[in-house]
Amino acid sequence: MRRFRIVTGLLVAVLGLATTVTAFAGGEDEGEASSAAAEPAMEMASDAITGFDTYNLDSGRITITSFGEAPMLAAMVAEGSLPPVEERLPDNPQVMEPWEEVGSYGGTLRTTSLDPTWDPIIRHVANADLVEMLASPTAHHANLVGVEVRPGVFEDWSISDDGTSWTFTLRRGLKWSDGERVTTEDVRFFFEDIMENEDLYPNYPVWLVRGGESPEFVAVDEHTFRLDFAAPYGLLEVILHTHGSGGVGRTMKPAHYLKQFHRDYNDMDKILPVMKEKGFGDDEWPRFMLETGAGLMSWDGTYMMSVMEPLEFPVVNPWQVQEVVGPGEFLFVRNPYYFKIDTAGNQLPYIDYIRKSTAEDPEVLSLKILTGELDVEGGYFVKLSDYPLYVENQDKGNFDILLTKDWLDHPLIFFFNNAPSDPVLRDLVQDPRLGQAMSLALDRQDFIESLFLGFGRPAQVAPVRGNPMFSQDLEDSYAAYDPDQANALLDAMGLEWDANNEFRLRPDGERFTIPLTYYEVFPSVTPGSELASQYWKAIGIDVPTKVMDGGAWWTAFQANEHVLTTWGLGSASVVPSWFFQGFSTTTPTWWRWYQTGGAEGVEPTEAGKRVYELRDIIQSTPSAEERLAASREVFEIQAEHLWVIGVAVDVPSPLVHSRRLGNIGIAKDFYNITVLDGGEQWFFKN
Amino acid sequence: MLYYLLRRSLYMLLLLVVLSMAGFAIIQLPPGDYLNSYIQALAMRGAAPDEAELAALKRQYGLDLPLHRQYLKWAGRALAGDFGRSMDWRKPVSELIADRMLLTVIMNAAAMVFIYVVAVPIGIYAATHQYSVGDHALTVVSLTGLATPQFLLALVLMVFMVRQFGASVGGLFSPEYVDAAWSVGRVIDLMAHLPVPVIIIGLSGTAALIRVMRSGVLDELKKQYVVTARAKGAAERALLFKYPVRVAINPIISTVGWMLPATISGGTITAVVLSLPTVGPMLLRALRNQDMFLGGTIVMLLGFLTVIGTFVSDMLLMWIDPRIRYERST
Repeated sequence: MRRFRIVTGLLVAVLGLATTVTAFAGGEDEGEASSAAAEPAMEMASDAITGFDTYNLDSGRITITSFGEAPMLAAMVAEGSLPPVEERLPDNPQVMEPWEEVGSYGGTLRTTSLDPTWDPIIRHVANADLVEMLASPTAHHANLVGVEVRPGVFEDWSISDDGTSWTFTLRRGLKWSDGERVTTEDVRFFFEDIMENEDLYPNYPVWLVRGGESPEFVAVDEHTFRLDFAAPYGLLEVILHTHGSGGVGRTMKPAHYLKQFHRDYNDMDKILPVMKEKGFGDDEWPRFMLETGAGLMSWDGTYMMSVMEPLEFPVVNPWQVQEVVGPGEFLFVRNPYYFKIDTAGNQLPYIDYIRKSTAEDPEVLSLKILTGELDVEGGYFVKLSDYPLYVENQDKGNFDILLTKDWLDHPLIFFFNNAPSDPVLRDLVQDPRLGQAMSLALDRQDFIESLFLGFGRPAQVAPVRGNPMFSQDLEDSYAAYDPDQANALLDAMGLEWDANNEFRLRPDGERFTIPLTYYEVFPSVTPGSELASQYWKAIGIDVPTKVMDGGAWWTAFQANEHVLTTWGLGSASVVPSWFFQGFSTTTPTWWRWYQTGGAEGVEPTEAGKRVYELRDIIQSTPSAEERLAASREVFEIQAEHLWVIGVAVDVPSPLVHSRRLGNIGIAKDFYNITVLDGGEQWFFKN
Repeated sequence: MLYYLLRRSLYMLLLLVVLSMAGFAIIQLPPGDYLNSYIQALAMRGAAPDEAELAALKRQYGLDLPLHRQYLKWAGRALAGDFGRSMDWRKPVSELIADRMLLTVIMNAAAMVFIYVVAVPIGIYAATHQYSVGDHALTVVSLTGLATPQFLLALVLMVFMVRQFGASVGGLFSPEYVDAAWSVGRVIDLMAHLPVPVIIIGLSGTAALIRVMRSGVLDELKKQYVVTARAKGAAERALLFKYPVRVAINPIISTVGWMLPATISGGTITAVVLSLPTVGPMLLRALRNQDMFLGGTIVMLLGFLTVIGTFVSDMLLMWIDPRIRYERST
């Protein structure tokens, strides 16, 4: 049960110059998928089409008689500056079913980000994944539970029975955007020449370390490689799939390009002039290397920053940088070697160019949307509070608004530090009744009305609907507004009221104060914190709020100075990565204890230890069922202890798109980032 | 005179060294460093910072070194004309600043010209027509200009331009000219986009300058030499420009020095609101993210321009006002 695949069979026929591919899609046994894909093609040159992956094809059978390509590429082919499309595509191009219809080529997509050095839209739109999800309402990029997983850059992948060894097959015939083949050498280069070089990376990335050791890379052949871990690592499949940890930029690098800058392959005499030209000091080779595209950070949209020269750095993404127009301004052009085609055999993407600009002020971004200067915007920078304004102006600006699901399932949550340095406070915080009382004290409907324009529904931090772990009981756990019960719980804890009946007193006689320290990580945290503070005052807990500078917050965090924090939670359904990240975030001493095997930090409570045990199971087990069971138990413990207090879920995020844009409007039930992930099949209607 | 120039130059050099140290230290004053800003930015994107990446960055950016060694590393290279690379933008600092310099200078110089062209005549008019309807009207306008927050004015004007003229929002170019090569069309496009930021940036400066000019001229007009000149039958206009205006303009000349750095970092808030590709917003961002090399270099540049500007205004004053002599009398 390691994965789902639809494709199972194929038939290849070659008639003269035209290529005919017929694929059957059906729900047969998974085991046969790989063998079928590996079947040799009939009478084909080296670029034989030997397999087919389809996207949710109900018809079960499609026939592709020839490949189509964009006019701008056809012109280059005619001119002789580009090989024909049949040679550019991999042996088995990935068929992506357009969400609504087969589109037409051309056009420039305009988008803006608020941050000149980072762009979430480009990050999702112009991105290729190692493994993919079938776009669906429950598909969330950090969520591999309950969705169909598809091949991407990886054609095949499997885990050994003991869970320690992963075998991956790269898509055969896949090429970088400069036409070079993608091979296991690119993966080897990443693992051995970059990650193992101590000057480049003093530590190995946490997500690749199991049992205290980095994995051993074994190239089986040109397309197949193995990662052998020191301990079972079933969760890797999920991680490969998230942008945060895995992804193309964190697994393979264009070795043929980067070797010219790597000192293991070249004399420093040759590299130094390039470094000098780019403003690096003579002793800054590691920094030069990482900023030239060898770095891990290339996943998050900042990869644009490290591009040496436009068009030079090879990618497998649908678009690549053509020109750096100015600081924060980029022009992207289609990658002529992109590996996906639509159901009619046309190479994707449909849109020729993406023009990405930067607005440093949110109001400018709003104005640009209102005047129809942007073709797509959403996911991060479009505020729900502006929704009425957009509705009012959508005809004038000729755009539509999708109220998509927000990648941030919980736009507002409150995290406890389970081991604050004040011992009295520590005992109180570790009593589950405190979290329960503080949760019961919140009138969630009021939050929904005043912060989220009435959208969303009250909920505790729990698996979201559509997730196999979803349970109404978990979502409702202490989520009702019941100040009487909250007071009863606090009374039972022995927290007396002071003489004025204004606040409760701690066992040591001091006023019961829990400082709420946060920074503006998401738009709703400041109003949310203020409102929550009032509700907690009503049950006698003094919660002064303090908004901090982000850098200062993290400094204080490292010093274990926070007790209660406001945050948001993305994909509560994925216990493994996201819940632990947050859970560990506010109890840095527990996390330290866990990471050092008990040598440092503070020993967690029994419940805390159990959660870390479950984390180990979730990470290691190759069994999806066992992983799910462990995840469910984590949420059951959370529902009782309420280390994280949730407020509401299903608060939508507006995604604005031009009415000229096709294959996007249907995706209104998707997560906003899932919509953006489908960028290669958007097109401009005539 | 030569001795004076030499002495001034030496002081200027010393001042610049101190400035660069102070700038570097001040950027480091808030708790944490660039990596903390990086982590918090990552969190907003919904990503967990990877410890391997942070460790690598810390070493490569030299953030694990003590502050004085970071400074020496930067200053040593700066002396050779190499200002290092920005951590935040991952580009050479000199390239980043150069990219924005031309437009910044054009915009702020235009704003300065606007200020002088508008403020000096109005100030003179207001002084010679004291308490007239015109004086009151101009006073109201200038005080309003002084009191209105620039960012608010920027937003209002921007919405107005978009609604009324269908201009593109923000920036100094229409989308079709952003990455075009320089051409007549592009220059015209720039001209069309300049008035809004120039007026906004210039307005508060104009208001202040009008008041300075007005009170200066008023003071002079009451003096006896003016009365004497009038009694001797000097023409009113010639008299006004030959004496009171020349004297009253002194405080304005002595602040010319401050205008030079303002051509680089002027109107930062306005530039942020209007999304102008100028140096001001870049400095603001560098300071907030503790991007030492970029922030330090811009602060250094501003210091340099202030020092030069002060020097220039001192020279101008000597030239315009014969009463001022810096050299010791022999």
